[in-house]
Parts: sequence; structure tokens; C-alpha cells
Amino acid sequence: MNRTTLLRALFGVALAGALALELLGEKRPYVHPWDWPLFFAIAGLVGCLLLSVVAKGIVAPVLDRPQSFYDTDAKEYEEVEARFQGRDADAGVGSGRPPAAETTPTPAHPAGATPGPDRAASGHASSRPSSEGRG
Amino acid sequence: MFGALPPALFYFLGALALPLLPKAVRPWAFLVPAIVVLFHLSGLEAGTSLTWSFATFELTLLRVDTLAHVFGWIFALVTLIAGVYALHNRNTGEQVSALLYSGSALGAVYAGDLFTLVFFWEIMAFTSAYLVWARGTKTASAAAWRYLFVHIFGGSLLMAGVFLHVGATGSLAFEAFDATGGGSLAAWLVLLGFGVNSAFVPFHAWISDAYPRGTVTGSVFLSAFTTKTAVYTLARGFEGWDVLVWVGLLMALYGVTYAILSNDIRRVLAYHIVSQVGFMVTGIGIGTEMALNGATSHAYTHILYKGLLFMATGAVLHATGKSRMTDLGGLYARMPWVFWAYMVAALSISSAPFFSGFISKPMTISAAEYASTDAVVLLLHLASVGTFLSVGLKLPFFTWFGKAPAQPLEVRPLPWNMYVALGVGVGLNILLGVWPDPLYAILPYEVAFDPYELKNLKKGFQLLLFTALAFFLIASRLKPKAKIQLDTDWFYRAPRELAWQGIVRPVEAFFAWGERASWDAAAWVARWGRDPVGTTQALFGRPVSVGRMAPGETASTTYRVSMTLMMVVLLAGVLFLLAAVALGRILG
Repeated sequence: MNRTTLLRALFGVALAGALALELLGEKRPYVHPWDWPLFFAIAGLVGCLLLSVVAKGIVAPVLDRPQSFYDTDAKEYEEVEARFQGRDADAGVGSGRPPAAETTPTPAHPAGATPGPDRAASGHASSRPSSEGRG
Repeated sequence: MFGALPPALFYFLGALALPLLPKAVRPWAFLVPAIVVLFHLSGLEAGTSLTWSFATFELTLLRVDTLAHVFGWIFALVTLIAGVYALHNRNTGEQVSALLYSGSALGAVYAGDLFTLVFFWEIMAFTSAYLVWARGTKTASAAAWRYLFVHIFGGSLLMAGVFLHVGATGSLAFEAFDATGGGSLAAWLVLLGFGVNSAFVPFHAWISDAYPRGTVTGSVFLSAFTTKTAVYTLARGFEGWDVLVWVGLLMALYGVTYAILSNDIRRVLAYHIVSQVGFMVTGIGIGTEMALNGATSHAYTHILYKGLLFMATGAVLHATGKSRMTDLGGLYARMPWVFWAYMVAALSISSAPFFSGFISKPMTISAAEYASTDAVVLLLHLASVGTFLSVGLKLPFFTWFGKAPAQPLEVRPLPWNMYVALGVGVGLNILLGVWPDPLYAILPYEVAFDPYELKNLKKGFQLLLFTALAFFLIASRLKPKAKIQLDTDWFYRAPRELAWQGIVRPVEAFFAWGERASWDAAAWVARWGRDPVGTTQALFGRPVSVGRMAPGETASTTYRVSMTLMMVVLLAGVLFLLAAVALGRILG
């Protein structure tokens, strides 16, 4: 039995165990919907599908926009990534370590190479003020 | 331990002393006030107060009661844990801000009057904004400004409400606002002020805008204080206000819907702050003893597990430099311990049995079963499903187990202190989950709820396991997309260019014209002093008769006004003005 099969079997046992809890305890009068047998199993199953359909089927088509919509989110990511690649990650993520070497060579872009969209990943942290992100 | 001193004082003193210490010592020194405050709180008994006469008012700088104490304890505890998490951080500005932020949050919950509350409320806004600024990127800076403006707006509403309230009642005391007759205008303004910080929809977008952009360590602090201080103020001032039931429900469902769609792992968590605070707000709106206990205990556990969630996702960001699920995946082999720490927090927020959320969230829902409508209960359960779906399943699945990116991720080692803080967070979330008594003992009312009753266990296991089953059936359809979702911040971000062109530019142009005109006038006066005849000629465009001049003389040199004369004229003018004002006062 491989690992995936074992995990699936365990998950199946857990589901059966959760359902078996219905057999324990006193029977309660069905006053509210949540007093019905298996209510929470069905609620979990249906609720998950319902929320997924609402989110992905209704909300997303209306409100989804490209990451560059505000023209800032995408830039920020590039900025942080550039500093990470330049071994100055914490400047982007806020630990305030000493600045990275200002003269870190950028082998991915030899002199004269045109900086393209992947400029951010090539150690251009040195082009930013090294004091950013620290006090 | 130190008598009736406000706990905030220790943090503020720490913030003052920190920059004077050697840099290497500062992260450790940060922990000192946090530990001192924990000792101090253990000696503060309910009923203790400290008052101070200010102008004609009697301010209550310290009011200790059970409600304030629940929040005080958890604020002090999370400051210590977050301080350990940030031990590798050498950013003094961030450390000082974090101390001031924690201190002002403590100051607000122990404030006995509205003036003191507003004072600490405003400090919280500025010091927390710095934790976003400290990220150092332009986008973070812009987000911090937006964050600050929204909080200034909220603070203004609060202040206006306080002024009206004091004007009408003559009292500054921070007590429950009267809901009879729908509540006064003052009460509604105060409620909206609290609502901005509580992330009432549609005033919530500052959370999803700013928190994902905070520093790794700063976001841990951010997740703890602002919204929970607001929850405290709502519990204090607006318990039993029916409108809060529906406001909270909207928050709970709105937050999970956006969390399901979000791609940035810290934005998913930010939306879940909106959602979880929604549970608390609903509990406060229900207003029964059990509901208030539920809301308060949920705020306590929420701070613990949300801090752990932000620490774990912050660790991913620290190690990989990435925070979008579309750029992550397959991290389990590289960061297994962080994954397990994350899962403890995720199971806690999902209120899985034996984890911290299980002792608090079901209490709020049970209170709704007893004292609210079926619809409210069902919608709260639906929000619970959404919580587990997005935080407990989708986020970890696509971050740690999803398909790894084509270019292998570089994973840097984490500092040891991050592991220690994660470990403490894990321990506390499990400990509280299996042993809720210490928390139940400090709640405002006697607890009449047993989370480990069979019906609660059945609810917990069935709801979560069958949510998981549904997720695994449709996981491929929930794959994250490299998109953002428009939210209510669009209303103040999209018209930015319009506002810039329509408001800022004309004002800027007017002041620029004024500046130019004043410089030109000064230059003309200077020229006139040097060459009165020539300047006047230039002004009128024709020659002015100046009489006979000796050879070599010009009109400019002959008729130049001496500096002494000009100074005398100026001085006389000023004296004349002063005399006129004095005379006006005497006669008036």
C-alpha cells in the first residue's frame, strides 16, 4: 500500500468515524435544521461547494483584475524579489539586516545586456537606496 | 507589582529607552517591557483605577475590570511572542513603533474615559502605519498612506461622536451607549469610528490593502491589535445592538469569499481577520452573557492563532521572497516544520477540536442558537466552512503541496528565533484547545459552555471533514490565479488621477503662483531699493525727469535709497501696525 492510498484510507476512516458520531448520545427533537441527522456533514459538503461556486463562478468573473491593475502590486513584487535575489531580502521583508553588497555582480546580465522584464530578478537591488527598509 | 500604573507606560518607557541602547541589544531589550507588563498585569486587580485631573475633566487613565483584563493579557502575551519572532530584526524604527503600538493598544483597553481612548486610538494609527512603511517598498509606502488616511477618517468620526456625546451628557466616561430610540447621533458616530477599526464592510479594505504589505515581523503585530482593540470597544459600548448581528454576518461571509479568491497568502489571512472579527461582532450584537463570552474568548484565541498564521506565512516570505500561491508550491520538503506550525494555526482558526478556536468560536455560534434566528446560525456555519476551505485547505495545499514552480525556489534558512516563536505559538494554541479553563476563568461572565460535549465534537468533526472531502473533489477548480480582486478600496484608489488633476493640481498651481508672485514682488522691491528711478521708469515705460547730474553719475546712483532709510520705514510700518492693533483692543 503506497502512501497516497494509506492517506486516503485514513481519510475514509475519519469520515466514517465522524458519521458514526450520529449514533452516540441522546436523540434530540428536530426543532432546528441543525438538529437533523448528518446536518453538519451535509453542511460541510454543500457549504464548500456553494462558496466555491459563488466565489469562482459569480464573484471572480466580475471582480478579477490583472495583478498590474493598480500598476503597483506587480511592481512591488518585482521590487521585493529583486532585493531578495540581491541577497537583501530582508530589506523587502523587513528584518533590517545590513545592506547587501552594493557591487554584487550580476552574471545573468553581462554588461551591455538589455534589462528586460526579468530585470528584477538579476540583483538590481544595488540600484535602490540601501537604507530602505531599515531604520 | 507596580501599583496602579497604566501598563502602557512600560511600553512607552521602553520605546524611549530602546534607541539609546547598543543596536545588538535592542531586540532583546524589546522583550523587557513585554515581560514586565505581564508581571504587572498579574498584580492588577479588577476595580483598580487611576484618575488624573485634566482641565475641567477627570480622566481615568486606568480602569481594570474583567473585560479589559482579557484583552490586556493577550496583548501583553502576543507582544512577547512577536518580540521573540522579531529578534533577528535590527530595524530600530520598527521596534520602537511596535512597542508604541502595543502600548497604545493596551492604553486604549484600560482607558476609562473617551478622551484617553481617543488619545491612544490615534497613536495606534500612526505607529501601526509605520510597520507597513518599514517594508521599504514604494507600494508599501503608498498602502501605509492609504491605511493612515482611512484611520484618520475613522478617528475623526470617533472624535466627532465623542464631542457630541460629551456636549449632550457632560460625561467623558466610556460606558455602554444607550440603544433606546435607535441610539443618538453621537453613539452612531462613535460606532462608525469603532467600525472602521473593526473592519466593518465596506470600511474593511485597509486590512487587505496594508497587512499583506507590512514587514514580516510587523504584520504579526498588526494582526493582533487594531481590530481587537476595536472589538473590545464594541463589547464595552455597543453590546446588544441588533445591527451588529448583521454587520458581523456580512463581515464573516464577505471575508471568506474574498479569501477563497486571493492569491497572496498574507492577503488570504488579512481577509480572514475581517471574517473572524465578523464572528465577534455578531456575538456582541447578540449581547447575551454567553455571546459576549464567546466574542471575548474568540478575540483572545484569534490573536493567538492569527499571530501564528502570520508568523508561518511570514517565514515562507522570509525564506523564499515570495508570497503568491501561483509562485509557490512543493514547499513541504523544504519547510516541513513551518507547514506543521501553520496547520496548527489553520486548524485553530477553523475551530477543529483540540485546537484553540474550538473553545471560542462554537461558543459564539451556540449563543446564536439560543438567542438569535436560524438564519444567523446557518450563515455562521457557512462562514466556518469557508474559513477551513481557504485557510485550512486551499492555502496550505497550493503553498506546500501544489505543483512546484518551473524554476526551483530558493529557500533560505530561517533564524532560530522564528522557530522558537512558532513553537511557542503552536504550544499555546494546542494547550488552550485542550485546556480552556484558564481562559474561561478570566472571561467577563461565568461560562456555561462545554466545547467537548458530544454535539460540539460532532459538529466540529463532521463540518471540517466533509468540507475537506468537497475540497479534494474540486481542488483543481480552486487553483489560484495570478489576479487581484477589486474591493472597496477601488473607490478611493481608482479616482486617484481624477482627484489629482481636479483637486491637488489646481491647489498646487495656486500656491505655486502665490509663491512666484511673492518672490517676484520681493525681487522688484530689492531692485527698486537699488535703482528707484530705473525701476520706476521700467514700470511706467517712460523716462522720469531727475534733474541735472554730475558727469559719471546716473539716475540709479544718485537716487538710490539708503538701507538705513528702508529699515526705518519698515520698522515704522511694523510699529504703526502694532499700535493700530493695540489701539483697536483698547477701544474695542
